[in-house]
Amino acid sequence: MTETLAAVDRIEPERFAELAGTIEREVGRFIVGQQQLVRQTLISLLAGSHALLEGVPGLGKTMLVRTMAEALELGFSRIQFTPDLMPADIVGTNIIVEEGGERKFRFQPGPIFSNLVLADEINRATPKTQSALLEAMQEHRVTVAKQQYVLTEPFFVLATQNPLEMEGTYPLPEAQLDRFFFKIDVPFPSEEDLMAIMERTTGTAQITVGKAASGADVTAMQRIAREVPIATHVMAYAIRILRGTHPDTDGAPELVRKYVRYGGSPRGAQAIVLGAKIHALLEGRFNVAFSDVQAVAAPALRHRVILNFEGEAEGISTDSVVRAIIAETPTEAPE
Amino acid sequence: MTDRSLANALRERLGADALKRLHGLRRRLWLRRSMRSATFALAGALIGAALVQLLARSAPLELAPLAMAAVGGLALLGWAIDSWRRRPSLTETARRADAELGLRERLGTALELVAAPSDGGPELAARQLTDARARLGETELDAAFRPQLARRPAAAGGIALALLVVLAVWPNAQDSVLRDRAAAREASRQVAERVEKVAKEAEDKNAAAKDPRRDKLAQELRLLARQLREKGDDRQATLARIGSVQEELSGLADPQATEKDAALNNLARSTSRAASGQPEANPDGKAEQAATDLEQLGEKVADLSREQARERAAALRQAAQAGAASHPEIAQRLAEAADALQQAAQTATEQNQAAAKEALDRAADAFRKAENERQLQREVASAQSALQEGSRQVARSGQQQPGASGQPGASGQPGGSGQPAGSGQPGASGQPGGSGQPAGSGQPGASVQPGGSGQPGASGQPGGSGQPGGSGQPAGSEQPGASGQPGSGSQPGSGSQPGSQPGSGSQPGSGGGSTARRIPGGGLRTGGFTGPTQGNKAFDVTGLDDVFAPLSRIGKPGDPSFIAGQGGEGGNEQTGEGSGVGLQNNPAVPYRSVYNLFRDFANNQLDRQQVPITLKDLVRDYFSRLEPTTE
Repeated sequence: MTETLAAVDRIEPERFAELAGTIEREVGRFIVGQQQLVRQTLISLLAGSHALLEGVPGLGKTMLVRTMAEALELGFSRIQFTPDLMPADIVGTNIIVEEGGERKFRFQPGPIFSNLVLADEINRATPKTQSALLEAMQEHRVTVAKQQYVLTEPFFVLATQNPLEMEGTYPLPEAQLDRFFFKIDVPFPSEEDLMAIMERTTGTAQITVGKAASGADVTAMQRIAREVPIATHVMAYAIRILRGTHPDTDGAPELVRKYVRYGGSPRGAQAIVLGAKIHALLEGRFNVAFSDVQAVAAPALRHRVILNFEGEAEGISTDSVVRAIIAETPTEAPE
Repeated sequence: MTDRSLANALRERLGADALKRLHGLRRRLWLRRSMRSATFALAGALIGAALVQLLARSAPLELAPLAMAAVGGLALLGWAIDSWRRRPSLTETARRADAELGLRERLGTALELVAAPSDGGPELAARQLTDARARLGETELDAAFRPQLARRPAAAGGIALALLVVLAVWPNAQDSVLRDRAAAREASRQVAERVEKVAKEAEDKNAAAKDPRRDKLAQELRLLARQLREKGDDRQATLARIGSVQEELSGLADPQATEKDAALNNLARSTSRAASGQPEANPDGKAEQAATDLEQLGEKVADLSREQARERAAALRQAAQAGAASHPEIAQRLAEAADALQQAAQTATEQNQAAAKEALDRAADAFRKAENERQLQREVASAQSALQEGSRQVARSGQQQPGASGQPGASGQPGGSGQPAGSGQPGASGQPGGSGQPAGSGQPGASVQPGGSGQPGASGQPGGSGQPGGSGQPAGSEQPGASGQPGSGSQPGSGSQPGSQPGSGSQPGSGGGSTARRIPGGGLRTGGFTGPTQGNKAFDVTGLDDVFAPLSRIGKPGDPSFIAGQGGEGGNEQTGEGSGVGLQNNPAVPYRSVYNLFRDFANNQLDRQQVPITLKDLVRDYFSRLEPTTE
């Protein structure tokens, strides 16, 4: 039985790229453009972590998560965060049920008990509710009435937030932001993409998304992703990039020294390395390259770099900070 | 893991072909690094060489070639060391190849997997190694690690090279200074050898004599030789040192040494003859022989007859009188010995004979002392000669201008216009005026040179005819005596008439340069002379050719007395007037009457000035030949 499970859980490395390509293609049938968004979201999923999507309303954030759930043949639930949302509304609660003439408490799972959870506009909920979600994200389990309930795997939370509407919101504190593997910016579509969106959404054609992978496949992909070898000097490069986010580090870029208050935590380096491994597999390689590190550095660090007042006042983006760090961090000593 | 063990692991897991290709990549990477390092080294060497060349332009730098070679050597050494240190390892090669060939860290990761097989899952690791091997096999090695030059160093080296070419083509003024120094150094070395030789001779000769003056002489010469060897490249300093030693030697030198030398010879000769009683004894006039003869005479005092003793005493006394002027001590001892000998002859007592012997021994010691002094003077003279020759050699070293051959200095032009010393010593030739001292206060001018322009009276004896002597021409520059020849007026001069000799002489441009120190440069002397109103008597020059034989052999190139001319300080213009009462001279003056004046003056000049010994001998021979014989 164990051998059978192992055989099921394990896939060939070449199969990883094939499945991922299929997922991206299926999602791409519905989500026009946004290849980077799709890929980074998929990397977060395959890393077994969670992603925070930030973008103005109407860019397809919810649609992306819904489409991905359909393509992955995973359970999907959506939680619309509002100020009056309570933790129990997320994790579930014990209710009294009558069974066999007896009344007893039975746990009623909340929407968190799903494979793909869309936490829409997470910054609209109160911190208390936010922390309930974040605890579940971190522990992959919830505790209700002293009873722990393990969440089903794969468990993937995609939270969204709107950067424009700040009134009546509760911005996520830095410690909780750090728990998101990636923070993915959802860009506004290009003209061509908008044209395609109009054609697909205003016509009569109905686009359906096929099943690209199962939950077991995702779990197997998550496992094999961690086995990708990474050379010492590549890992050192990732660490140098992370250290470059700290203004008090020797050799930190001028932009960091001037505008950054706090740099990324070790979780940032973990995100970079793991994301780079998955990126390498998605690129069809079996080792991590410097380019993989550079590709995932921005989503892994942008929410972990805290700007100071001057940086905020000057309108410096954390993306520009990360770009500066990558530009000024040599992969190896020059010849 | 060492390269060797890593290579073995690579051969096992990636295959020999992959390892071979990796080694090829490593060689190419090493070559690139070496070339890059060579660019730096070459640029550094070129810049260093250019700096050395620039430095050599601003100051004479004898070590410039050596410094440039050192810079090149250092650059080569630095390049070799740097190249060796930058020899890439296999791991480094793999990482560089990933970047160079766009392998996306496949090789670097593969080498780590080979070195540490536990990293990564076995399945993925195997896949990775296969992938890396395949990509490495597809790589074109010729495209990898093409040699590159470091651009900035190459540009800097190019600029330095261009500068070097310009500096190499452009003449360097310091080269002549260096050649000059080298020549001076070589000349100083030769002079030092010569001086050391003289010092050694002085020491050897002094081994028995133990004369502290000789020690001092040898010490001075040794010191000078050492200084010349150590600091011989500075011509002026070398000349100053030589001059300083010459000054010190002049303190040891006896100006009358030559006269004393000749007088000692005569004295020794006459003493030997007197002591031995043989007229042909001691023909060479050796002082030691004279001393021996005196000692032998002392030994046989008792054997002498009274007559013989008296004759010997008289002869000794006569010799003492003859030598009293030049060697008073010997003369004194000889006189005492003569007295003692005569006393011994008269009394024939042993006491007196012993006293005579003792007196004769003292006289002998006096001779030996004089001989020692003579030897010292000769050594001093030899040293002076060596120093003078050395100073001339040093002064001429490195000078390739025609002036080295000594152009006449009459024009007073510096350097090449210098007149040969022979002709530049008009003092002798100007002396004929000595006999013709202008009457009265008629010493015109303050000319140092006797017989100069201000001494027109040589021939300008206001003769009876009242013609100005020598037609009133001042002493000529080239042959000063010619115009100053004693005139032989045809008519007796009216010497009683007050003569007026407002002589006026001028010596423009005298002292034409001479490289020889203290050689008075000859000057072209012009001057007017207004002699007495009455001319001289008739002049007869018969038989005077021998007296005033032209010194044509002196001062010509190739002659031993020739001294190169050097720029002088220009001449002094001397004017003067003299007036006085003319004397009634004889129309003809026999040279016998003026011979002594000429000879003495010449000897004085030879003694007072640094004149080469060969020239001294020449002058003395000249006067010896002219010496009037007693008839």
